[in-house]
Amino acid sequence: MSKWSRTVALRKALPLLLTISLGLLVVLTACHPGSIDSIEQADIVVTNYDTDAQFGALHTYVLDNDVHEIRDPDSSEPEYDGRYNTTILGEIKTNMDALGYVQIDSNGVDREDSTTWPNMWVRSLLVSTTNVVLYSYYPGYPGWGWGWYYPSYGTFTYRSGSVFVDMFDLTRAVIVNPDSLIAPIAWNGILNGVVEGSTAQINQRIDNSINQMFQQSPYLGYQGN
Amino acid sequence: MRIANRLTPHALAALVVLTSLTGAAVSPLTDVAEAQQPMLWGITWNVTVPFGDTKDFVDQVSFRGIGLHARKFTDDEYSYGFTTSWTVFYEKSTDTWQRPDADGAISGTQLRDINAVPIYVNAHRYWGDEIGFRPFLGLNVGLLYTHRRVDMGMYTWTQDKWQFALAPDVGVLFPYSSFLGFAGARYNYAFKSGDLDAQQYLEMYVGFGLR
Repeated sequence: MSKWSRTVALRKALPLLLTISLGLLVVLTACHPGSIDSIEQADIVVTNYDTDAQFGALHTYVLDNDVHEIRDPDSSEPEYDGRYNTTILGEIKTNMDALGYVQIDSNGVDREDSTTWPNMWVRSLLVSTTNVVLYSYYPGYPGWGWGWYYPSYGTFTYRSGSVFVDMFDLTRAVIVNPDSLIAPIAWNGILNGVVEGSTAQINQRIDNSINQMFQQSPYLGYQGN
Repeated sequence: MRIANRLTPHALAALVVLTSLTGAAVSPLTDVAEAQQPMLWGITWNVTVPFGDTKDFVDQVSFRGIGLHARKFTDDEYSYGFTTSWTVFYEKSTDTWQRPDADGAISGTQLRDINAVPIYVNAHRYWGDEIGFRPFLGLNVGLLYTHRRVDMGMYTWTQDKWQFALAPDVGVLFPYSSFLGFAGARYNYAFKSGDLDAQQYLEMYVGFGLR
């Protein structure tokens, strides 16, 4: 083949080469095309239940009147100040009452007295963590040529947190000693998300998520004797 | 296969680009030197419809697809060659999902995507005149690489698998200026491999080629 023929052939291939490269570049950037649009879309709600629990027969419950924080005793982070308690406890009570469950005052509960001893004990827990992300990136090359750079580094932090709602089935509790017993968890709900935004915004997200816990648990609800 | 399992979609793309650049540079030379056995290089835009387990994972038509085709004619009626494509399926949903691993449910915003890269060798049969519309029928055989991903909250689940695949296809070549138009449909069926069920989807492609 002559040099001229080879040049013509390569010119013919050039549009195809450019198109292939451009097309693949477009597709490469679409490898994972989706993203979330707001912090709320990073919230997830998980529920679990014990198939042996008789949710329709359970009737009365005691709601633990505090939200307990799970924390490392050696942590230097400030302790949880209870700012979400009203929302968490209020939404749990609203949903439990709507299901036909009857709340019993935790004061005066007596295991020997069936009129004051509840079928369920509902407890709330909260945990939050500060996450530190270290990332690297390469700054732009100078316009006058190629070169190589050491990467630059940056960090950012964000807080993530979880709220746990546990429902203990006291009708299947095992007495360990006069002062303690062991009861299975019949149902629990977990909310997990990024703890960013104002207290009012976070309270609204907690409100929505606790409602979602009960909405995705259609087996809950008192159905009479 | 261990090496193949480590290939990310980006590494696969680099491999495909390298192969295409090498072949595209060589083919016109081949074309000039061997005029009796023309070679076709084509690039197409693919629209893909999922079926079966693929549809169960992402129930959306994909408009993010590109295909590369290389066919060497043995005579007027037959060719053999190579083809690959890259399709991205994507879906964003807020459904409540019953957990398969426990008694319970999970809800939240899910971002699901599938990157599918089949790599085939093939053979085709053509009808019609060499310079006019030429319907064709063919069969592709090879491997399908599937990368599946679910992003939910701050968590990500991924799965990568290679599967043996077959893909019959039908289409037409047609002259378009100095290029050759390219259109067709290919049904990809990848057999179950490990914990990934059979994958299947229909690619409809249109593009052009050089010969």
